[in-house]
Amino acid sequence: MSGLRVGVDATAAVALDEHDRIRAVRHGDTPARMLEQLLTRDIEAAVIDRVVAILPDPEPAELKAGARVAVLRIGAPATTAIPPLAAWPARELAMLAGPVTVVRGGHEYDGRVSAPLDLAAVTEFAHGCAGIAGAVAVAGVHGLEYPEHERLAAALLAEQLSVPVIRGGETEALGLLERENTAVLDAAMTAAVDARIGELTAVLSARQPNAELFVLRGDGTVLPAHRARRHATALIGAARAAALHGAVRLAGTASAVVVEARSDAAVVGRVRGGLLPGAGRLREIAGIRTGVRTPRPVVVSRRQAGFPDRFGAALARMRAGHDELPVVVLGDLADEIAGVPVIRPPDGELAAVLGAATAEAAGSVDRIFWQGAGDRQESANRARRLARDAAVRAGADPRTLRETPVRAALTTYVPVPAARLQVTAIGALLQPAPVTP
Amino acid sequence: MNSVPITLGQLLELGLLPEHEVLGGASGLHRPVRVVVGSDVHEIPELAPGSVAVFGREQLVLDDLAVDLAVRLAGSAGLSGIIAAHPHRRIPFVTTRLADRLALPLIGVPDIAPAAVVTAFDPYVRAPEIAGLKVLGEVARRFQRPPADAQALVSSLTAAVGEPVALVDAESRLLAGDPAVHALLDGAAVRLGERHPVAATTGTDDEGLLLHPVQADPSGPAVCWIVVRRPRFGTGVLLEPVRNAIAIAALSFALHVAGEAVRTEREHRRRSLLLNEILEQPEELGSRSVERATALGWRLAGWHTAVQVQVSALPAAVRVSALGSELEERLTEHGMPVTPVERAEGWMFWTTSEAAADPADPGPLIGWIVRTLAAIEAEHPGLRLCAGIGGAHPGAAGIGRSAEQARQAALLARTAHRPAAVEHIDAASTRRLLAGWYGTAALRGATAELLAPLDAADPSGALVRTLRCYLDCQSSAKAAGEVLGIHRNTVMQRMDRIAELLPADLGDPDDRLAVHLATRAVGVEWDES
Repeated sequence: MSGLRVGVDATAAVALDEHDRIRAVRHGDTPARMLEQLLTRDIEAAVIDRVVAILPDPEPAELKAGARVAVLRIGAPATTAIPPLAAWPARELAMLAGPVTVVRGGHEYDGRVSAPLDLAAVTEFAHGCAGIAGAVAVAGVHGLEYPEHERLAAALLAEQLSVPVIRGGETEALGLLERENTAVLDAAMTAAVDARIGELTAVLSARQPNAELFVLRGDGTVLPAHRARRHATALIGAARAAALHGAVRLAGTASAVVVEARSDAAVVGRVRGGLLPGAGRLREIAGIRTGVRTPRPVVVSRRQAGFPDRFGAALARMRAGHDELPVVVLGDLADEIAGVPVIRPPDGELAAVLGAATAEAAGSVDRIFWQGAGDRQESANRARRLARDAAVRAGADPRTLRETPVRAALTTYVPVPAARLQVTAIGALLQPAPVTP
Repeated sequence: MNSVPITLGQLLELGLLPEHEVLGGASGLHRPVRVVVGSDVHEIPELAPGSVAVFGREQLVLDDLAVDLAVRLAGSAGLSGIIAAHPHRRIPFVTTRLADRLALPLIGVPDIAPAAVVTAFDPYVRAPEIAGLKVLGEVARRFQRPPADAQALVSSLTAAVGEPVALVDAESRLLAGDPAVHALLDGAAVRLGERHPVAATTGTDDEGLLLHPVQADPSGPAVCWIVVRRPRFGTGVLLEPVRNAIAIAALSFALHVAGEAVRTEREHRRRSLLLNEILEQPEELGSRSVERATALGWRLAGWHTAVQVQVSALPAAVRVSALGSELEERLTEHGMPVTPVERAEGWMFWTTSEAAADPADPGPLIGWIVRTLAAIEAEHPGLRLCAGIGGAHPGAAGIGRSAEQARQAALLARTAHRPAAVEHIDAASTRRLLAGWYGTAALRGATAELLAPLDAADPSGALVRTLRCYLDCQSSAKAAGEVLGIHRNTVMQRMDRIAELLPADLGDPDDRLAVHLATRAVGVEWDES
């Protein structure tokens, strides 16, 4: 009943049937052309349910060619100590910065309005951006939990300017600066991502108009294409994550430690229940602190001396506490893994596109919940619901969702009952049900 | 519990949700609806498959961020639709597309009270057949009395069924109602002229039609047909009551048609009696008759020119009784407000002028009549009409005199064998001599004998037609061939054969004249009364 699933990256395109069997493969062309050939020549008659694309990580040049971004921070007078874009490297600042302002507004930690949103200032800012800014980033203090001011301002700006308006609250990051920086970078790269997605959309709407297009995130889960265009930074690292997921799939398991051997380096990572372990650190992009929390597997270079030792240490660290997990090896790496039972799946070179074609959708929450009115359980339930909603909006079928346990960190250093809660929900993608009258 | 559940499409067709708009997922309108419930976005996963979730403005507006979530949750839970407040802005394209992909109908309404929507839909979800019964009841109420005319029938039925309606005649001409429905009829393979018409349902869904005959005589052909566009989601339990409703309307309209026919008939008979009186005793008319003639607009004083119209060929589908009214309408349209009176031979009427008219010159009258007859013939394929015009005569007695001449002229017109033939009795005309001759049945019988061998040899009548045309064309085979559309050699061959068969010699002038007269008179159904 269900249609085929297609994965595509810069090197290959692959179509899988409902039992994850490979139906067709294409190599050696641009993603759009490989997709076109796959759809028109290889699996012409079949129905495509979805296409999951791995976009290449953005080049610094693309950042340079990106739009000039106007930045609106909602938070005066509370947040003027560090102005927007303050810590940016001079080069990026010169390339990207458009008009910048801080207007009155924002909320307190408990939801009280710290200052009413200065709509007149937002309107004035919009006038100042017209014709200059190619995109706008809006970030408000406590905008993650209380997004009203951000939404109001974004709606107003979108009405006045016909350019993408990205909100900080769309990124699940604790700090205002990180959210703001992420929004600025996302805004700057919207056009570049749009162009790549547009090529694939054009092929799909001509050949398989009912297929849904997804883009792979840096954690190896998907975003619907129309949302991915607003989150370029979240897509960074997708190729590597896809290869890890794909290797685990090829090995026929759900969890494993994966070693991807390349000529210049070996990558060691771990997949558990469809998720890559979080790096626990926020990513810096071009020297700019962002709110992107993509996992980073360990990369051991072969060029430096002592590769076997360093590799052995990395593998041991990855397996520590996970001894029961099988080790899946892609590529040629024999000596260094002697003594460890390994799985060497076939079709290893297709791991990334297979990982894309079989990818799931996830939603994560990581924020501080103020427990003023309710109890801890209530906050945990709310966090889980937010994560589930995010996963469903990313494309997951609510019936298949599974969750990580809620990780709580007490924030004893604030004078009110509050806790930082982290939870992720993940599930298989929703498939349309047939209409049976 | 019923076995065939209603669909959201059918529920919307019932008009219970004014100003609703299907914003996406239209292909899911065919999903069965098991229950309609007020809901909250996060309650969706707990709803049973087949539910339609209704949201108040507080729960969901179709342009906020929660819509994608609601659509995905609903698609996963197997819901049959979402009804929510219509956004002020345009709904995002991605949301529409998502709803399309999941075939999940997304219905926007300007103002929404979930409880009211649930209450309105609930009875129909539990028992879909009551939706059909509602239509049936409404039609039965509206058609307790026959509709005043075709327009009233169409508007009443349209209002009750909620679909466009057309009334067409047996030759598929639109009499009243929606031209778009009439246009759909072209593609439908239904034979409206059937001797025993039966109701029909054509096509599927929104391209289909429901047809029902209106029969003045229950065992006769259809006088006209009621055509209704098939309700979009009309299947099964919903369609049957609609069919029955149309049958009720058809019955009611048949009563109206029959009543009209009786009324017209009575009126015609009264006119006929009055005319007889005028023709037979023009000098002794009672004051009451004069009064009635005046009321009908008949003028007794002045100079009268009578016209008689006859039918020379009548196809099966045309009713003679209907032709009378059509003639009257067409004459009025063509600038002659007269009332034709039905006579044994056809219809008669006359025009009157104040001054003494030239009895030999009927003026523009001939042109008018030709155009009128041609217009009527054009409406009914196969129909042939002809008319005779009398001379102008003064006074009440002049009506009878002119009428007699008109009758003779009509006989001449019958012999012309061409469409919309009109002849005028001209005092000096040679045709008047012929009229006298044609008027004598014994002479006609004798000459008809002459042609009997030709009829026997060729029942199709081709030989007689060839002979007539040949003689009409002054014995030119070439000219006759051109008129008949055949080669002159064929004419010559037929003439050789005719000469062999005929008991007369075409070389003899007397024989030749008799044969020519016979060919002119043959094929005309002479009224011997």
